[in-house]
Amino acid sequence: MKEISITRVVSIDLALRNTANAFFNELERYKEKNITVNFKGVKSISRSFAHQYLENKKNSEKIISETNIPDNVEKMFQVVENPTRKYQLVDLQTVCIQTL
Amino acid sequence: MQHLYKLGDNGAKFGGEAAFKYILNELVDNIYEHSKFTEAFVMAQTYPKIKFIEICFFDNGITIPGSFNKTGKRVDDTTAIAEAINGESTKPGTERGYGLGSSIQLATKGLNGQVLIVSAGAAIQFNECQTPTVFDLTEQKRLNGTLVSVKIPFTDEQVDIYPYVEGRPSKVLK
Repeated sequence: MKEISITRVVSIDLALRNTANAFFNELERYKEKNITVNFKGVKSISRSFAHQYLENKKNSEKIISETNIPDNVEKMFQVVENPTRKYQLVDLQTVCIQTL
Repeated sequence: MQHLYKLGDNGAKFGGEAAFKYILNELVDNIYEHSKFTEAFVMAQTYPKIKFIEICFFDNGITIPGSFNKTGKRVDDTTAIAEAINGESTKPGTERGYGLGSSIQLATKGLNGQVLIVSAGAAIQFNECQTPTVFDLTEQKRLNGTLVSVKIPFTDEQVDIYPYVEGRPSKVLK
């Protein structure tokens, strides 16, 4: 079993999909099969990072678990795992298109 | 990203840390994910007298319509931007495509701000009521890249981002 602090490897702010990928590339290099990711100290997480983290976890052959997940991170994981319909903010049938 | 957060004082005046960072993170991530840029910028300016901040994201990449075309989806520029806003991703997977729409929702409804998106030959602007105004750009005004401008008025309120991030308008209370 190996424990990794995500704030040490990535940042206290988990922002970009490519950093989630880089983090998992790092995890895959460890010889241990069981890895615990410690989220202590994480200040923010984007939806994109959360999605990419969970996708990489699903596709990894390692057994990955999490500890010390802050509430905001837990909420974002739940949002990603329970997707709802997307906002339909633009309906081109009903708006007037202006030429500039 | 840490430099950007510091410039905005971690969102202290712009809806709180979570809201400020969410918008920055999602819009910067879109540049990395989709634009194939060679140059990209994030610019921000605060206007203390009229009390708002404008944050501008620009990349010189393939544009939103160009990204759609690359995946074989040939639509006009206006439709491409509208579809990107509505959550159509040019990458596989139904759980993608939330970033732009949820950022607009958060910036406008959550923070009473405005958002302008210009890419190739079209532009869409949202006011604080979230009403879109759609523009077809003439050749002279065409942008070789993508620009997203977000204007947020100063607020001391800490906005809960999750109703906006979840993608369910019915859960948004404002």
